[in-house]
Amino acid sequence: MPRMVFDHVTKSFGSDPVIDGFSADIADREFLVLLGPSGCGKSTMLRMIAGLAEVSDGTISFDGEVVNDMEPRERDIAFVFQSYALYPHMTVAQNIAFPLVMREFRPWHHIPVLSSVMKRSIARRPEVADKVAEVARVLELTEYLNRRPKALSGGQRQRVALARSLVRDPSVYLLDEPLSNLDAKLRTQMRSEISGLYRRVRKSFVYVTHDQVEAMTMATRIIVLDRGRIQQIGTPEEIYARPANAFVAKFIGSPGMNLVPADAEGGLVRDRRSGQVLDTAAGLDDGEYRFGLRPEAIRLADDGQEGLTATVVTVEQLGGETVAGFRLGDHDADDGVTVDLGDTVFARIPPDPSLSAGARRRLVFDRGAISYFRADTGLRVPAARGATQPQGSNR
Amino acid sequence: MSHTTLDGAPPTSPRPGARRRRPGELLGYAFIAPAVLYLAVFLLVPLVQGIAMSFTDAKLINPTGGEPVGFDNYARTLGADRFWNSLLATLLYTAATVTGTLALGTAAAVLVNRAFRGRALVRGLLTFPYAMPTVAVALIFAWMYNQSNGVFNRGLGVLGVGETGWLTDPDWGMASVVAATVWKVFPFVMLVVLAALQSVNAELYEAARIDGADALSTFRSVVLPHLAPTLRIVALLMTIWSIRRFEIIFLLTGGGPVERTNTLVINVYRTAFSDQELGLAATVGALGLLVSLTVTCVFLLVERRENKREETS
Amino acid sequence: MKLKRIVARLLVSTALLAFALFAGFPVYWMVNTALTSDTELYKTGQDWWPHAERLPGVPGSLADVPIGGWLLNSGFIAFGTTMLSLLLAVLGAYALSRYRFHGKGAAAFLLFSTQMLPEALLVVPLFALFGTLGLLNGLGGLVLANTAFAMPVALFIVKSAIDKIPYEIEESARVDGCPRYGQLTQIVLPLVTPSIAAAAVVTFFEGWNEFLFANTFLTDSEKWPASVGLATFVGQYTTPLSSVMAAAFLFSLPAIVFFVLMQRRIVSGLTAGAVKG
Repeated sequence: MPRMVFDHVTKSFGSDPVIDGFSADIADREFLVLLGPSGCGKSTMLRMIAGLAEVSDGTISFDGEVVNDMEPRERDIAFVFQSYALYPHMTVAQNIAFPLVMREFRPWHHIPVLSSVMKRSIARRPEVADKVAEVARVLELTEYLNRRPKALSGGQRQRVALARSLVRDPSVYLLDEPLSNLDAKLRTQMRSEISGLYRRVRKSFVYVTHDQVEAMTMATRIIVLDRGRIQQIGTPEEIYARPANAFVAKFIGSPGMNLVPADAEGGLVRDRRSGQVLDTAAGLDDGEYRFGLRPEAIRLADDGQEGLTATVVTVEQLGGETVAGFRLGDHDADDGVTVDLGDTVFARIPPDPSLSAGARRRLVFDRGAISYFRADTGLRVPAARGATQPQGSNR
Repeated sequence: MSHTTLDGAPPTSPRPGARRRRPGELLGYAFIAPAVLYLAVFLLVPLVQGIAMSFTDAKLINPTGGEPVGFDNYARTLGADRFWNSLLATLLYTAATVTGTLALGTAAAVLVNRAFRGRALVRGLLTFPYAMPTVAVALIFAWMYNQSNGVFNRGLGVLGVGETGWLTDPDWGMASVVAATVWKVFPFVMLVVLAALQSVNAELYEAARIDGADALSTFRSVVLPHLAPTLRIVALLMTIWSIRRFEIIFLLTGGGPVERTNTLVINVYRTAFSDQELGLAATVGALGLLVSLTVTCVFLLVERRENKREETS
Repeated sequence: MKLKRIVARLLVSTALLAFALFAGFPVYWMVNTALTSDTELYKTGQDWWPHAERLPGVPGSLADVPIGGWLLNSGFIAFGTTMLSLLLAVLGAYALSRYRFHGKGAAAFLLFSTQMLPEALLVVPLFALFGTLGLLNGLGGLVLANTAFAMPVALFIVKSAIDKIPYEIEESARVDGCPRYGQLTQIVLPLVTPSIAAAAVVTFFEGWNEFLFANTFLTDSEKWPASVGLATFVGQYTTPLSSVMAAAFLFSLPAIVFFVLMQRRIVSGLTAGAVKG
């Protein structure tokens, strides 16, 4: 249940920091998601929380107690690996029982032949056997108890890994991209199973992923990481609606937030490419900005309505909706130029099967959905209308 | 991501209080120590003692009682023909053996690589020579090489060729020993090359077929490049082992006839146990070690150059 | 074209046959000789085909050669070498595979370079060393000497197997409360048993086949392993050759059987450290 405090946690291999000055205060019983692209350091962070990797500098505390030097088993944690890390030579039942058996082992019990004997006898004790059976029942593994991991499907192995964590009843559950090896459908199913587990045990969860859908659906709090640095800490709603910088804005959402290069001058904000006026009275100082608007917030203008002129460059018909990529302004249908997606403004609109490349449309949106980011730093500019600051911006 | 090594890097800045050494690291030392200490005692120390002995005039009856003689032993050894004959014999033996085993082993591997009925049987059969104890090999080959009753001369007699003293004729001694060696050792090359061949990505073969390559050019453009690093390593191993090899030569010819097969290691043994000159024996041994080291260095340099070439091409 | 393929296949088959004959003939000849009387061997000429009817007489002829006692000695030396080598090798392999520590590279280099050392150079100093330790003329001393050469090979074989086990499984055990040394016995060892078996076979036969040290260190002929005993017959023909060959075949048989069974694993382990990919 612990409250976790990270104080300037740093991890370096040699001189390059993989994690740099990570500071956060997470209440207990949160489902914390560490979200970021590959290589951002999130797995390293998780391993430091687990005690599998050494902290180079800074402290990690559980409920006020610094845990930097504690062995994993002293921290009362459970860890689910991306590859599940099941013991191949043991049955499912033995895998699940292993943590309980280890609790009872004395140092000399580890001698090769003696250890098999001891493992078997401890596993037979009622308090152990019952717990294993109970956990297997909860995760629907009862009929697989005597199988070896290699005879199981991906989803089943996942559940064995979860069972092995559940059986120890830890204070913190640590999960390292547990769903990335599963196919899409199974992923959706397992997502709700893990969320269900969280609700049932009511303990702290720390979950690492690069998939923002997982983060948005499961987390009570998200920490977005990029290249070892915290980009933003917040609830899913805060991350979505008020991203602290351009990176977070682009990372969240599918497609991510559109960031149109714009210039502010004398109270007007103009699109740099087409020169169209995007916003008046934004209250920004003169300079270069990124005009941020989520694809979901853009609609096609009705006939006769005013809006931004744009030309369609790509269309994706998804059945339930259409995702169209636009270039602002009038363009000839075929400049023969390859589409530079960096310039493209995406919109998610109700299904429009007739829409095709080269068509001209007008785009409308709510002023309240706009986010501004400075072009040089990428940081969000607080709205002139006094909206609340986003939490936990980049240090 | 899976990690195969344990992160043992200590914290970069000391924190108040806890600067304890992780118990894991100590365990690592404890686990490797027995093996390292064992080798130090039973190999390194004797090696150093052996080299030290080359600077004394120790004799077999009193191994430790030799008086230091500086570089006298080296002068004597390098000045006498016997050492240079040994060196020549060693180089000859090594070159012939390495060539023979590489050629036969690779050929066998290529042949066995295709699937066919009874392949496991054939491969097993081809492994027999390597498994046989050297003494047994020496026994049977000595009998087969026997001048009057051996099967080789009998077979040649049928063809009208006269009796050859395979192990007694100075012109044939080396060849006979090389033949017996190649017979015994080629399966090792075969197994290693076979393993390498079987790791060739099947898709490469298919691509070659689509491009219209026949068997020979497929071999040259797909198989050989993949095989090259393996062959280099095997060549190195074979060379070092050839320089070391003692028993088969000792048992078949004892260094003869007329010292034609008196390789460096045989020389060492005979100088020590027949001539009873330990100091001189150690000298030959030390020089032989130098030869081994030089050869290894040459190989490593070639290897590095080849690696660079392969990386940039 | 079909003709080309048939010819190619014919060539390959012939080549394979040639290789099989090449590899098998000396072994076959050894068996043949074991079944041929001395008269035939020296006077009338050895027959190309074995005289199967002489087979029942072979066990009796072995009495000419004290092979029984010799094989027991060989077995003792081989077994001792295996036990000691495996103990050192397994611990060392785990350390080299999993731990990063100062001098790890040096340790690995040491192990590899010992494969270069010629026994002939070390015979004399070891002779002197064992003399002072009172280990000469004893099978125990041979176990110690053989282990020094066999252990690095066993270590490489086991290490290459440990390298293939994802470290995450051990970390999982660590999180589950398993102490570090327990990770070796509970997790790693059960998963590398095949390679340990292969290493055991290699070290066993290093001890079984070894000749030089046994020949030099042992003075009592009762202590002779089969390698030394049989070596006295090379080129000597006073003892019936058929008995000698029968004894030699008996000596070779275990090695052949085991090695053929385990060839793939042995070779992959031996070369894993050296060969890339």
